[in-house]
Amino acid sequence: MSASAAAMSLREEAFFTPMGADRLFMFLHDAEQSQASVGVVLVHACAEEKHWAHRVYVNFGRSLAASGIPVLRFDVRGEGESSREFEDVDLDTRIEDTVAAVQTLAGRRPDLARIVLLGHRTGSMVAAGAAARLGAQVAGLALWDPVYDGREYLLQVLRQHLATQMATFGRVTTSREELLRQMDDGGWVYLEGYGFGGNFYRQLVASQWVRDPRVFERPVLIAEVGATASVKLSNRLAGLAAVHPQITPVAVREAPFWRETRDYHRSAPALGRVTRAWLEKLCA
Amino acid sequence: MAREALRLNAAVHISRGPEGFGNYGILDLPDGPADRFDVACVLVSAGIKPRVAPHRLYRKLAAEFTARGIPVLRLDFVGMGDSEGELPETSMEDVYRLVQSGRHLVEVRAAMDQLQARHGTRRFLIGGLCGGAITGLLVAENDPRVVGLYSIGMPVVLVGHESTKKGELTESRLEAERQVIRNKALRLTTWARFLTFRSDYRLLWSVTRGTLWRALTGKRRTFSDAQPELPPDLDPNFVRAFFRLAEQRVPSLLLFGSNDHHLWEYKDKFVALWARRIATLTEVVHTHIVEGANHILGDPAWIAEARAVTGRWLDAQVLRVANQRATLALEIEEVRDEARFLQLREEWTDLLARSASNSVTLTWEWLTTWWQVYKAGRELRIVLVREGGRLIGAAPMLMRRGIRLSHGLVPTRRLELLASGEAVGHAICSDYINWIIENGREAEVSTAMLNQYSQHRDWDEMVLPDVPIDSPAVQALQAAARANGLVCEELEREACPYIVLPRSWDGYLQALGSSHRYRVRRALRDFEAVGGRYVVAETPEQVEEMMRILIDLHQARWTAKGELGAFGSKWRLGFHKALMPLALEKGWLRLGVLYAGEQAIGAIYNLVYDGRVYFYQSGIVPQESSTLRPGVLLHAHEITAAVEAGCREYDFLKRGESQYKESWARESRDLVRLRIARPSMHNTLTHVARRLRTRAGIVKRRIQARWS
Repeated sequence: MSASAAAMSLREEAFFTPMGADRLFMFLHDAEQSQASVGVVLVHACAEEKHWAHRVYVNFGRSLAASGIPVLRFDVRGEGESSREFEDVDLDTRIEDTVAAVQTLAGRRPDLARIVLLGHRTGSMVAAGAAARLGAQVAGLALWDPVYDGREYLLQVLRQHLATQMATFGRVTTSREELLRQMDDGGWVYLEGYGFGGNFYRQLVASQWVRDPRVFERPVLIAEVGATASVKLSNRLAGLAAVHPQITPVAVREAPFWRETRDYHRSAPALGRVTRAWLEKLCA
Repeated sequence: MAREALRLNAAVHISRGPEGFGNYGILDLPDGPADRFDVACVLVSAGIKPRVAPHRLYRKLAAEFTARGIPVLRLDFVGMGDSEGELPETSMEDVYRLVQSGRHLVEVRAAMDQLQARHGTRRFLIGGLCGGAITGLLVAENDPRVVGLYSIGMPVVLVGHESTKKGELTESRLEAERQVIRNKALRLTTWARFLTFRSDYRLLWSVTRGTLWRALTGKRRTFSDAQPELPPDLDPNFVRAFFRLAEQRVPSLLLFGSNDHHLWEYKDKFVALWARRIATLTEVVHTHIVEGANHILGDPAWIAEARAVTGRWLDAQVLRVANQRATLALEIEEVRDEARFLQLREEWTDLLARSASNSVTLTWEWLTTWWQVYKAGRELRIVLVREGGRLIGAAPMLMRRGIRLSHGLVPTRRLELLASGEAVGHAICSDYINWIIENGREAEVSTAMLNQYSQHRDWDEMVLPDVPIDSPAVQALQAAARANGLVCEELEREACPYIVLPRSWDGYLQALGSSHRYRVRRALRDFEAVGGRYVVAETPEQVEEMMRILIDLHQARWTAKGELGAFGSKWRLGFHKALMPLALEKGWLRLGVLYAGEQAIGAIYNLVYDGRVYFYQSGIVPQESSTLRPGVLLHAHEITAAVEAGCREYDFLKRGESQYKESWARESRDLVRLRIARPSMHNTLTHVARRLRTRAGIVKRRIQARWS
């Protein structure tokens, strides 16, 4: 094992922040002599995608902090170490939590001139929602492989559920249509232990963040990820960038570190590079 | 959907292994103020995923431990989760393989050392899911502090072993696959896949060749001819550690999902080979299979089952065995003799200060005074626990002479706490009485005390009234009683309102509701305007005089209402007359009188002990002027004095029917009446009698309501 370069000069703190009757777990990566004018709040992906990606988040936070940019990671309620259960929270609570995280970073580092939200997968939807709500307090938005369409994301989730049914029962016991109907009727579908349904399901399906002009009132980096060298921008992102000149669209070759693969992903170097370059440009 | 809220009582943990990297963790704590824990659980990261485990499984399971007073540390390995350091491996298989080989044992031991240093923890339960289970086992094998292994989906086969890669399936796996084929055989889509070359023919061949061979030849044939006696991929570290731990009689719980390949491997590659030896270990090795479950128990019903099994295992195996073992080194003394009780003053006082039960009602002075007044018809049954001659526990119990009728029907021999059980109208109301146990030793000491009482068959039930429910001693006693197969029930609860005192009287006033704040300020202003004085007794003579005033004022008011009053009983009076001089000598007494001119209009009797003020009793003359409120003034003066003295709490004791206490105090804590009994016919009869009595009370009230 080798110490990360960041570990030498980092100042890190894990702590809980009250949120009404609940509390949020937060982790601040900072450097001893940081004089940066920008800080980053990282909004994680959802459910098991968050777990698989966790080490990438940690190391990206440490690498930015080592170069003087403080990064606040936090667990939304219903996930990680924060209070409540997954089934008791929705997109709105996630956005509230993100707003609280931004306020926490601003409170701890009042010298920061800009705060950037970095969202990953469904965390991008949440970051976009929080940016729209916070207005000028969020100076930039970086989105890693964002979920544009909640329904498509859920269909992916349900595909995995069918695979789990096959593995567990040897057959599909409940079809995808039936599962969708269950969620429409207010029921729950458990995928790898996470209950999907209720408000979260309805809000994911209804989310129209790409059509919210408030999201694009600031520089926005959207990085789409593909595992092969031939990765290119999706038509959707190209179209979006044509409408909103603030968007910096990029297609990055990177392994899907938020999924279970044969490889152990401790960092996302290509995503890290483009994000760091964009941050530098933002501060210039 | 009803769901239990995840716990909030948690603290960040950082420990460092020999390489200097910080291991991050979260310590889930039991409810209550205790920060010393004799037993703690360490749930080790399952591998790649952080310390909450898949779908936060560890957080859900931790609730079973914390409910029993056991904190749970959930720990990230170096290079994983939030921890420092970095792993050099690039493939998942390599990471899992190195976890399985015990790479992180030293980090787990460092975390245990830190818990021991910070929280006084001497005994550990350890384990987790998959990689956490094997890491826990390898730590437990060589660490005498481990008193239980908690495993979910234990891997017994070496990750990435060549023979595993060849795809040889275990007999359990084959049977599971055969079941799948049987389920799908009648479906057209299955045959469509088969006939269009989309089936897994290799798997089908593996699964069906044995059946085909039998059908063709009528003989059973094993196809793994090359397989040696010991499966080549069986983890030798697991086998060694498993038997070593079991032979040390350390209890293990091995939880598996029935659809987890780890179960199939455990059964076919391990249990099948050592079946006879394992059969001798059933007392310490408990295996439970959650039907239908996968490796990560990813369904609420599977988690609920795992939690229930965990709770039962903790109660029946771990806590009982661990505490019984720990009690062997303890020395027990039973005190039935008054003279011996009176000799204990110094030791008793020292122990009380080292316990979480430190309250004025448990002081040697309070209890011996009470005993002198109320001893008729009672026998002392105090149990003392010492370690190396040092007193670490005292159960201040007594036994009533003769047989009493429980609920008016069932003859009962009762053990009860000293300073309780007085007849109606004669009670001292000793709130916060309890067993006194040194901080952090509650589990083993309460077990030892309970064992001692259980040796005697001359009692039917043990009653502990007015014990604080969040006290570590009470929680440990409840756990010990359940672990020993006793019935333990909470009969009644009552709240004690109290003020967490701020640094200034003004600060306190600001926190009050506006109308009450106005009443207090107005009363103080008017009292000053009439030249009022508040005097506190400082000499024995003043105590005598003010006590008389207190009693006169109190009794005049209550007897006018047709009630006995707090000093109307000769026993109560005797107790306070004996206690007050002692309390004055110790500096605990606050006996104050309010004078308006020369007339005493109110008196208050408080006790100050260990930074806490106990409001015990008062007496007032209701005033014609509605703004001169003696009750308000007494508390205002006493709270001011408490703030100035640097006290941390002003406790109104049990609320009873005194609603006014809530206008002063925002906080409250519950006292309960705890009953412990043997699960006998007597206990059943007592339950029936209690129900009959409750029912009779309801009927009586209905009749009274109808005829009044």
